Amino acid sequence: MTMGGFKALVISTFKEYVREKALLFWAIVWPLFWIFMVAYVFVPPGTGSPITLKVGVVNYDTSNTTLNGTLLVKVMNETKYKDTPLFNVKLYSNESLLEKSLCKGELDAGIIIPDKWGINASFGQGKLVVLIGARSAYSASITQGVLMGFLEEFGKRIAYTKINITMKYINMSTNYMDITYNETWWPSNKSFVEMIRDFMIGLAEPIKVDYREVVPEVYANRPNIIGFYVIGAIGMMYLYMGFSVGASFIASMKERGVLYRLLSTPIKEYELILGGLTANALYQLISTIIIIVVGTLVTGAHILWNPLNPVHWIVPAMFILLLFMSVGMGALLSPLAKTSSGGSQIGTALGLALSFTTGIWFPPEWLPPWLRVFSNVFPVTWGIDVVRGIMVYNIDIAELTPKIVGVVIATIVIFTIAILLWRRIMAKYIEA
Amino acid sequence: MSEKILVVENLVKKYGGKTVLDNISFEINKPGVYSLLGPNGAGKTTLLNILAGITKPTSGKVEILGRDPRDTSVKRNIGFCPQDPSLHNMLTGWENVKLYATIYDLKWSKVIDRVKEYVKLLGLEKDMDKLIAKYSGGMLKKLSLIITLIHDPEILILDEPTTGLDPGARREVWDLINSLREKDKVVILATHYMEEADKLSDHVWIIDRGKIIAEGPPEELKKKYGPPSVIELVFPEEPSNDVVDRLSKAYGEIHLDGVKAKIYTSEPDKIVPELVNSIYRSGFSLTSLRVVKPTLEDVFLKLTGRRLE
Repeated sequence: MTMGGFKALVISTFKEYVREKALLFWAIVWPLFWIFMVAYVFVPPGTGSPITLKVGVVNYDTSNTTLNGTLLVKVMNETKYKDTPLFNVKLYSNESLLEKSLCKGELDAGIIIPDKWGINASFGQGKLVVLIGARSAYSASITQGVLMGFLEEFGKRIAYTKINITMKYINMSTNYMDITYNETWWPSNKSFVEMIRDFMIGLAEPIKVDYREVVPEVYANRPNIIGFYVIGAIGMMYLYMGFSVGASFIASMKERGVLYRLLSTPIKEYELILGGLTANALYQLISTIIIIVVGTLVTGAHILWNPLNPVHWIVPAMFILLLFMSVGMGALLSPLAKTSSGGSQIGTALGLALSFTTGIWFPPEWLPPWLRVFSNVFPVTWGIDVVRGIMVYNIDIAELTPKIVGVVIATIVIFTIAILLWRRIMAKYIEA
Repeated sequence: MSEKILVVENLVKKYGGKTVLDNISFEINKPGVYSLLGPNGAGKTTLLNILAGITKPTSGKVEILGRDPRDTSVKRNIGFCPQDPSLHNMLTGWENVKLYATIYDLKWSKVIDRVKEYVKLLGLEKDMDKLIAKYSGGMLKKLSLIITLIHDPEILILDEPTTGLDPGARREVWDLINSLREKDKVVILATHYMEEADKLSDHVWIIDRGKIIAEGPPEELKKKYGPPSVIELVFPEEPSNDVVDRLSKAYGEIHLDGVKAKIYTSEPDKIVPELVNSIYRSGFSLTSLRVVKPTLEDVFLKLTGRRLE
């Protein structure tokens, strides 16, 4: 058979795939269904943005100091984290109304500012009562953490203001003080006043912490999360379709009756196998493109693709290898399948099960340790990791190279075994 | 065409421990229509699959145009029409034909006229744009035949080409096979319809249980193995054993099949009046009686003691 004949076989088989509505469901509708579920149900718009806590405040403070309850409420209203208000403050006239709202779950927390709080905080210690609305242990811990962080920072600012005022008086008093006092730990380059100031800063803030946000790329934001699942949906589709096609490929040709006719033509067995599988690969590649485009443009997945970047061309190569690898794995199931429908069912069920348990759909970190071991040695997961690394997380290629090599070797080995197996099954059918 | 078109020598095919073809030998040296006639399970399909280069023989030699039929080059000279219409269901008639044209490296412009001629001959003009999945069994058989002929092969191997067809469609296929004979093609067909083998064939191999039990042109076979005449009787109801025994003693072996019976004789003129009297004397009656020439089925019955269909 010439290239023309091979091409005709590929195109004809491809047309048959396109006209088969059940395949359309499994190749496009089902993966997109899961992507939409992720984008609009599991990770709805807004996920990944900082939260705004609903906080009720009862302000009994009547202090006429600069620092008072009114100032605290004003600061709360104006505080933002990454452009998102940290609090949505609602004022209550008394504690019982505040508690009622908390019990109804209308608030995340409540703050009671007692009378003379401003005076106490300015000249001594101001006490606050904070009520955490425990709708769940998870939300309570978040609310408590956010409020603690805010009040700690607010307290620090008060302390620094007090230090500055105190230092003004100390500077004025130095003429009346013995400042020759010396100890071995006394830093020689610091004056007495500087020493006192540093000491008081240490009282206000014994440990100066520099918080730096290092967010793991994997779960950083919604587009990345959806990007992760778009590639996961493609991997899932490769597994169940590849397994299904691989397991039922020869049986299906036999049942449709085309096997005998095609083998009576100048087509060789391996051309027949490769023609059918190339059509399947082509069909799934087009599904892949549709899934990526819809995932990116409709659900807002973060997918990187730059045809001018040579590294990005590893992605289509990886997809092709994964397609042939998964079909090859399906071939290993074909001895279990007596009919094409049996093969298809076994392939689909096993493909779906593996996609959930090998880090294809769910992140491997979510899996129990014993399953994580399995996902570490499953070559389809390596390929999907490579694609995610390039298309979602922009990981350095050097880091991905061992997995790329692994996928190439695994595909060659698995597909070679598959071809031998298919030829054996074909011979068995012909001789039956 | 070379002198020896097909050579089959001591061909044996076994599946597991079962011998399906048992030491078969024959040759085809000139164009014509050659039939393999035998009941279901006789080994016809297995033999055709071997001739088409699909199945390997267990032992023996098969050569088509001097080459092994599994050789890719010789497959271009063979057109094989399997028993089940093996087509691509989700393609249209035209798409199926084009696919096979391309597989045989044929330019569409060069085969289109021939294909259209066959499409017209078999009455499929209105159906070629439909998906095969919507075809009836008869339409599938016809399209399957067109695809078999697409590369204008010298040798056509047709496995039961008219099974499942209505009489009109069967007649169209016969016309097609006759037109192929006129084009000096070699047509090897397997059938269990004796009428088909009788009307179409230049040469018949009668095959039973994997062995060729008789061969030759139909007329020769009938002369050699068949009786001079056959009396066909139809009773209103199945005759009793007494009646059958009495008739057998008087007129030789009776082949009974329900209400129908056959008696082979060389003197029908003498026998018929006596036979009718004898039946009515026994208290039995007849629905019909006719004297006919022997058929290949009679030959098969004579040779095996069993009916063909």
